[in-house]
Amino acid sequence: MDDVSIVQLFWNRSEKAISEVAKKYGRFCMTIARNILGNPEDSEECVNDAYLSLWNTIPPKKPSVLPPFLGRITRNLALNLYKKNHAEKRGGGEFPLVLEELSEVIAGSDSADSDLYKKEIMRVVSAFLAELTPEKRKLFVRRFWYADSVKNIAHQMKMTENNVSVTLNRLRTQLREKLQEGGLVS
Amino acid sequence: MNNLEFFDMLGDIDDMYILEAGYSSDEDERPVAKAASSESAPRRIRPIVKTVLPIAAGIAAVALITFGFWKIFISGSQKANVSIQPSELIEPTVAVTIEETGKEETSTYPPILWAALQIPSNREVVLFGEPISDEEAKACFEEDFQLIHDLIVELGRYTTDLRMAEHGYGHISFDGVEGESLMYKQNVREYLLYDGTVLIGSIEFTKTNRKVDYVLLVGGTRFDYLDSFLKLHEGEQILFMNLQDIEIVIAPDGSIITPCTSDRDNVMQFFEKQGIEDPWTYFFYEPATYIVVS
Repeated sequence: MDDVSIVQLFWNRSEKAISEVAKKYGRFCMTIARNILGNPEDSEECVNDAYLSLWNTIPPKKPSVLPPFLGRITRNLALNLYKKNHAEKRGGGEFPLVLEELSEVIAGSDSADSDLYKKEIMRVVSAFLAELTPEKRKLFVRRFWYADSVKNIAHQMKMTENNVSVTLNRLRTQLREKLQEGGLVS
Repeated sequence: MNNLEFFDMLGDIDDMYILEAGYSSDEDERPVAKAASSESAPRRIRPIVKTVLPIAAGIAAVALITFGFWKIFISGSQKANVSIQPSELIEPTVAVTIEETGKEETSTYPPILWAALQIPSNREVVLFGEPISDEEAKACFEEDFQLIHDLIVELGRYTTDLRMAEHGYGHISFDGVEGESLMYKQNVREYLLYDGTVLIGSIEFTKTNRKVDYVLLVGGTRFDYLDSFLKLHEGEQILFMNLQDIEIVIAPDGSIITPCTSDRDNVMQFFEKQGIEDPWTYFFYEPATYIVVS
């Protein structure tokens, strides 16, 4: 079923909407959740919450393309659960490595975290992404949006793991330099 | 700001990049083989809103809003008078799915994984379907002229001098899968439609079991891009191709447009990476070309 029809089911408040979303994007959501949370039980809980959230969001929203919309909901929920689990010292997997890599990028950032500051960071990140070749951008997004493993990225993009790691390292350095140029990190 | 907050913030990157990265656990299950052998409508057309019109007088008509242009399927050549109101296109009155017409895939196409694409390993062209000729297309157009005219007008494109191009073209295509050949559906042929000298849309004929169906495509940015490009290349032999669901139009000087999507740069980088300096020559296949006549 296409996305528009699925969204229409949500608007019609048809329970079939959830099953259609699960059928089409269940694995997609599960992968995002599992990349962040690391364990299947939490991931499943997160994905179910994502469906519920989708049910509560549509209507009034009417996304024309579901994957980024649903993916973002799943990612946010997974991240919240990760924070909770992390406080309780649970979890593990690939995600801590992703976070460690991101630490390098924002080391020396402002701890005040004003909205303006965050907006400026996102502006630099967006400009940085826009300048990248599609291949490098995909690599960056897979790692730092989808929290995908180096191994899986290498497999999907037909690269060696070493090549992926080296490219990601360069991209992080480039992004850090951009943030430094903008005076956003020291 | 800590790393978790930064990761959280990165969640706000543009949707386009999320789609481009194409991460999906389902992507390995993409029905590439099916697409390669499919006789269905071209995948370059992505349904955004679909609906089905009342079926009247033996006519099965399906309308879609596809990337800004209207698309109507007509099954078989007909002379009946069909009235279509754009508002009806938004709210379906008959619950018949497009799948049942066998004319359109309805899934949302996953983003292309450019890094994994391969150029066909040889220049052999695999042909599909029974050929349709310019004469057959012309006869069908003339027979249904009034209906086609009325449909176009109903879709908001008033025309007083409707003309169909003398010659049509198909699309040479490939899916980028290792080991595959170039493909050409010789039973599908698209003809540009003009109001006088102004490009307003196209009509695509498909021949199956000696029966000719056609699809009307009207309005939208596709034809704006195409019109500008064709005007720039008057008298030249323009090549039409599909890479998966992306339509690529190439002029002999190597100029490229992707009139339905914003993939032009990706396409050019892909060709460059594959060592194709002259894509027009590399992919040239005469039935997939169209010469613009002023």
